[in-house]
Amino acid sequence: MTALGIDFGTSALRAAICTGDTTRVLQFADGAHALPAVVSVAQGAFHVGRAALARASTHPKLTVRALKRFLGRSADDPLLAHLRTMTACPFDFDQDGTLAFILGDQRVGPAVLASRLIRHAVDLVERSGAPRPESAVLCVPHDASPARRKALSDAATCAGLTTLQLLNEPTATALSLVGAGPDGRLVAIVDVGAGGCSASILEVGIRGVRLLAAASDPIGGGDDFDWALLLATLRDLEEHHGPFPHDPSFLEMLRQTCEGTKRSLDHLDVVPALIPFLPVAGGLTNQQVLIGRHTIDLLTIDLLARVGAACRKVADDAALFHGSLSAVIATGGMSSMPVVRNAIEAVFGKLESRGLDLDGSVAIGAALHAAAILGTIEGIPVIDLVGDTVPLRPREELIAVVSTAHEPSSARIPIDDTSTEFSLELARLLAALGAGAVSSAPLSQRKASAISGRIADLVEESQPVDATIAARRAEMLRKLWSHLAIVMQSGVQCGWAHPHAQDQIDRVVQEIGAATREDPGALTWDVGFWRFSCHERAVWEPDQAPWNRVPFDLFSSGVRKLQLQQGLTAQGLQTFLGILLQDPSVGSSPGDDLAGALWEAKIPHVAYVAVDSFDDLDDPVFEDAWNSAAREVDRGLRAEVGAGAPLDGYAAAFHEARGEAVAVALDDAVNVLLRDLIRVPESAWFDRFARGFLAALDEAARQNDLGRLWEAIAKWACDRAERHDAAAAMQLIDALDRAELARQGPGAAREVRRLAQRAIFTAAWISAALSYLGSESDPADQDARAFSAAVDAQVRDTFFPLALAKVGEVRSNQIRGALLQHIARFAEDHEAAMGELLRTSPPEQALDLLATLRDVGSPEALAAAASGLDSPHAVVRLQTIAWLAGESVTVARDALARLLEDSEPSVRQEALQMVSSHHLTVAGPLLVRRAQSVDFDHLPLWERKALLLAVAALSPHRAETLAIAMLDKGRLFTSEALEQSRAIAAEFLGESSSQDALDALERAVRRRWLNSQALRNAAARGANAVSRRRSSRPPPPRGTL
Amino acid sequence: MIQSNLPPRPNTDARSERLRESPGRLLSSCFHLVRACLLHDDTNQSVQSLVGPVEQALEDCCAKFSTDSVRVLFTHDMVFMHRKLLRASREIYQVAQHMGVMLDRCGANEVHFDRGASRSSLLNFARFLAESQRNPSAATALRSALANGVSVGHAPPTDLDPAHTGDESPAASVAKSVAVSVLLTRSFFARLAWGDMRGAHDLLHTSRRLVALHDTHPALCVAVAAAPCFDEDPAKMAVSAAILAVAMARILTDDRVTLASIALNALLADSGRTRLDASSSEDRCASATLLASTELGRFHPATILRGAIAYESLAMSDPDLPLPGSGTTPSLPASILRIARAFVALRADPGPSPRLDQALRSLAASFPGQSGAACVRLLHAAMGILPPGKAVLLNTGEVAIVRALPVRLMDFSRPPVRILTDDHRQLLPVAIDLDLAASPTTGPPRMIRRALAASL
Repeated sequence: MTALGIDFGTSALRAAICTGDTTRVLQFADGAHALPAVVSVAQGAFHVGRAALARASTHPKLTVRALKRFLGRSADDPLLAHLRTMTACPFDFDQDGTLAFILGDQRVGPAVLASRLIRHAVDLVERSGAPRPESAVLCVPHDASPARRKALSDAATCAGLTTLQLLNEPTATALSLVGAGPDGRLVAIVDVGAGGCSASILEVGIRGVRLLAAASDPIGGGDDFDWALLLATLRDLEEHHGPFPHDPSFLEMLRQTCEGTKRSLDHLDVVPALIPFLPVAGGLTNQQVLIGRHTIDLLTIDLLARVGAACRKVADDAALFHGSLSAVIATGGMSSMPVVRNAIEAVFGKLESRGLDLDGSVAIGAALHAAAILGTIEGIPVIDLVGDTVPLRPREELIAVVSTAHEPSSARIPIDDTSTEFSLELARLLAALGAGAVSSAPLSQRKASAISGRIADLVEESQPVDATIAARRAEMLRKLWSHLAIVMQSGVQCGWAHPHAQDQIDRVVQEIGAATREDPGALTWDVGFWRFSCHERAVWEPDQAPWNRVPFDLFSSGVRKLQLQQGLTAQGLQTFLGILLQDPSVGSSPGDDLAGALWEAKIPHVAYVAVDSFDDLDDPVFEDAWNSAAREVDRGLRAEVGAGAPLDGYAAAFHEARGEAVAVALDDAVNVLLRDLIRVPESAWFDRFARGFLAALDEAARQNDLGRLWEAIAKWACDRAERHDAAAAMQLIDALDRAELARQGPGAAREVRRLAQRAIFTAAWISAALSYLGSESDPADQDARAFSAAVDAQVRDTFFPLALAKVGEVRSNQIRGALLQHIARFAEDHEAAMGELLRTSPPEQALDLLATLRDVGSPEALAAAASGLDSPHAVVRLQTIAWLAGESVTVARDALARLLEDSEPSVRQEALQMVSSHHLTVAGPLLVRRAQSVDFDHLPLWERKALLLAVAALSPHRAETLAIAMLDKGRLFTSEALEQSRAIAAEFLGESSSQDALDALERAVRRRWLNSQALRNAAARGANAVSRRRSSRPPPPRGTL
Repeated sequence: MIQSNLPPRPNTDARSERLRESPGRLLSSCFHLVRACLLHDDTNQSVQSLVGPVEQALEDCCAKFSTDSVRVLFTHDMVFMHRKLLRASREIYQVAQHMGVMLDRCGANEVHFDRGASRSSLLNFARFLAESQRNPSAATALRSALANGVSVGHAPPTDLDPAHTGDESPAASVAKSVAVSVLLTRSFFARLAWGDMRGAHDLLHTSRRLVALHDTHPALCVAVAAAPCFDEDPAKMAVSAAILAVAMARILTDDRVTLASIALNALLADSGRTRLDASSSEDRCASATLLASTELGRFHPATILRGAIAYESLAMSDPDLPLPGSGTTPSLPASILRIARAFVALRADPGPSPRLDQALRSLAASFPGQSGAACVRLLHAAMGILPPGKAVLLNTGEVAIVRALPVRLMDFSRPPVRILTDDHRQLLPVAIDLDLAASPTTGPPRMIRRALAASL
């Protein structure tokens, strides 16, 4: 007995037989394992497969392709209109609505044509030496209608076969995998074939195969794709050659060319395609055209969306848990395209096709099942839709099978004890779920529930959006969001008022206007956890902070859909984007969220759907209370409206009457005045609030609640400071001051101000304000004033460490001044910390600290200041020395000595300058000793001069003596360095006016062997200068010596 | 009015913070327990150590919602805790969604935790949920083993259409919304009386709901609010005052922040009384309300607005009088609120239910100044009624004078009138008094077409 399984596909038929324990896929005459599902009629004879395909271009009207798509379709099937445009073979309908092809003078139904293909396969089996099969398992898409199932069954009957069972294609594939892995594994099978795509999740194992979920889409498969490619190529050809007649034969040739090209474009970017017999210029010509991958990419957008949607749906339906799939398998001709595989992997993860005969897997599964039914092999339970059962949703299929598990018709499926038990348990569980027995008592009897929320002015679609429009909208939104992201970035970085940001907003508003002009619902998108999407396509999926916060913040506040409409203005868009950028965790009340902000803003032409709560009336406590309240309200309403009073037109009449009543009640002037008054500016509320707040303070004191009241205000002020608005706190304090001044007078006002400042200006506030004010070189006056007041208001040193740490970093003098003031106030008892900081502080901060320590002046401050000597900055060390010189001579001198001997010339230079400028007399002996040392002549020239000048700054007389000694220090064996030192001394003395200096200079001018020429020149210049100075001096007053 | 004397509240900020985060903590701690159960058996130390946080989070959650049980519902891609959409961080939300997926594999989408759920019940729940991830048949055990304290269930599917109201009539829809608002306000007042300041943000949502409701069904809203109260339920009066105040302010502005703020003020107007003696003066009530309004939740610009309006509406006896200790008059929102509250109070008079015209007349007498009169007129306009003495043109072409206010609000456009002229504007020899609300014995019903500029 031969068990035959047939996979009747849209583009090809495959068959497999199971003999004994061997299963094989039939090989047709051309060596292929697939028989093209094409039938052609020639003079009453039927050609099938390749032969028929060969005739398609010469006899297009006598050849039927994609036969499966026509099976079981009736006149009212919407798909037929689509198919009619794609097939050259005419067809119409019989009186009973069944479809019939008109093949020459014959009217033939699709089932008859299909039977020719099946018969061909059966004949082949017989020719191969196996017994002619008498029955078969045939495979159908899981969503095939009863009519289609019946049509295929009829075709098999017509071909002389008994239909053992119609098996769902994914189930058949799964059956072929039964022995290929462990039991109970979950497998996803995605079939992207010529007739559309389908995705299924199955549990597969030796104990059974269960179809858990399936989803499919009959549009957008390979057949439609080829047609779309044909149309695109036609458009290109007509652009180049002008219009030409669309002869069916030519179209068929072009279609076959496109099919070949599609396969090549899997691995090539551009493929040359030869278009034969192009009917242009009054004749026929052969043209070569280049078809690029981008064309394919464009055409696959729709297909990818459909594949993705089917995969996602099936994953949802199967309640797929992440990582629970054992394998993901793609079948069907279109699944070889990399982009299609990517789309599948995006949902399910890595594809696997090892060990699977993709071409024949469906047929093999069917053959195995046929063998099991015929009893030639041991079967396994198959939980699936069987026979002619009306197709149900996958979960219901499960119920249908389980509930009929013990009926005779199912006895064909061998079921062992374990699986029976499992099925019964499943049935019990499902029944219990249906009856609500799984729920606890309060939840057992379900009543109406609803998700409540807000829906604001959304433009609803009057009819379902087709795939093309959906793809176009998604693309439009993707572009829009790429622009909006840039606008938001500009808004954040430059501020909304910046011309650059405004310019970008204007451009996007124009884009929105253009997009919504013809398609009002074009800019509608769903808000997801991570992203915005439109018809399952991602349109904005930000992955960087802070933008990645936007979708989730909207999502978590309940917003599920957003729509931008025609007429949206730049201001509206700005407000909208401002809301999206709000961080709900900062500065808002607990009940505030983005949905609330959208509601409050009521931006014209921005619509949204937001979810708020789940109104479940099943909670008895809530229900009772609700009923009671509703009854009361209703009673009141009925008392006014009148029992049974008609409400039709009530709203419209009221609207009209209220218009009249408003006109009567308020004349225009009053109306305008009141409209103006109802909007009190925010700043004015401070004063109004302050008046009440003072009264509330009294009340809080009575209720022992003062702390809580001030705490609430302090938190608010801190929030404002975090949002770069330090001035708000000061504004409130000023308002309180003014209110108390008016209420109680200046003394009380001062006291309120003091209290308010102490309560509001916490260390947290200062920290928040400092975090942004510290980096501003020129903060706003109000902010700086508030900060100064805050620092001033501190009565304890809690803020001291922060002030100490930040004082060196702030850029504004005003802020630094405030911090230093605070440090100075609380420096006492913190000297050690200041000393520690002094060691590592940058120069400016260290000098400020030193100054503060000096002001403190305590022994602890002195000890702390000594840390400045360890500073890496010379200026700090010098300044420290300068101060210590007056306090601790030894320490200062030692430190200075180290500085003057520092290896770094600049340090030595600064040290010398410091001695001069700070008149460090403690350094005098040190300098003189250094000038008299033997190493002096080896110092750089500048240092020798500076040293002499430093001594002069401390004691001019001592310096002159030193210089004279230096000048007189001529040696027999002189050196250049020595002569330089003497020249320096000569120059120095040249600035003097004393007789001793003049004498020394004149001695040096003399031509003696120990005076070099350079020295003599320098001494001569100095002597002249001194002489001139002395001669120009007024004579001493008479009587003086 | 609400009165109570309560001891000072302890500083409960840390606790508030803990309670606020408790829904998220409950879900995440549950999830971690289930994950641990996937890896270890019940005796494992890490499993045991994870039960405690679930217990604590459950206790906090029950305290937060003031209930004895917490229900978590996973539907569509949302998570509802005790009927409210879960508002939590991204991480918590992800965990919650994972929990939903786990439950869905067992054919359930909700979990019901009782406050008294024992440690073993919580552990059993986690154990069976973990088991059912590997073995679907364990879902049965999940059902049977959770009788004590934790149960799972399946809520019927719902449409994800927030605007869906089923077959409700406008009246039923308004009644439902107002009833929910009254309930929430009542529950808030009840908590407040015990010193519990939580739930203020429920009122924030309620105020928005009332503003939205008025936008959709203004006529019915006003009818409900202006209806006589048969008792002095402060929650119902607060809701009625909120609706009327919104209706009045809506004539002048469509700014939702202002409208919601006015509505919220009306709902919170009596919050300060909870901590006062019956003998306390109105001034103290005003201060106490501002105090409560500042303490409720976080202080922010809306609180400033709210506090100021609340204080001004309560502190003044007449909208035209300057505020105590200042030279300014109250703001218009405060005056509107004051008038709305006064009107509702009049309608709730425990004596014989006053008629609408009596109530309005009494109100006008109470607020004789210009500002007060303007607000009273605003209330007239909000209710769509024409004042007596107004000349109107009827649909028949006749000119008439409004004699009195309609007895019922439903008849706002059909008051009793005195017809003075015929349809050719010729004075009738004898004026005809007619109640437009009464069904005519002959001919078409007369209605007011428009008001005329002249009035008598």
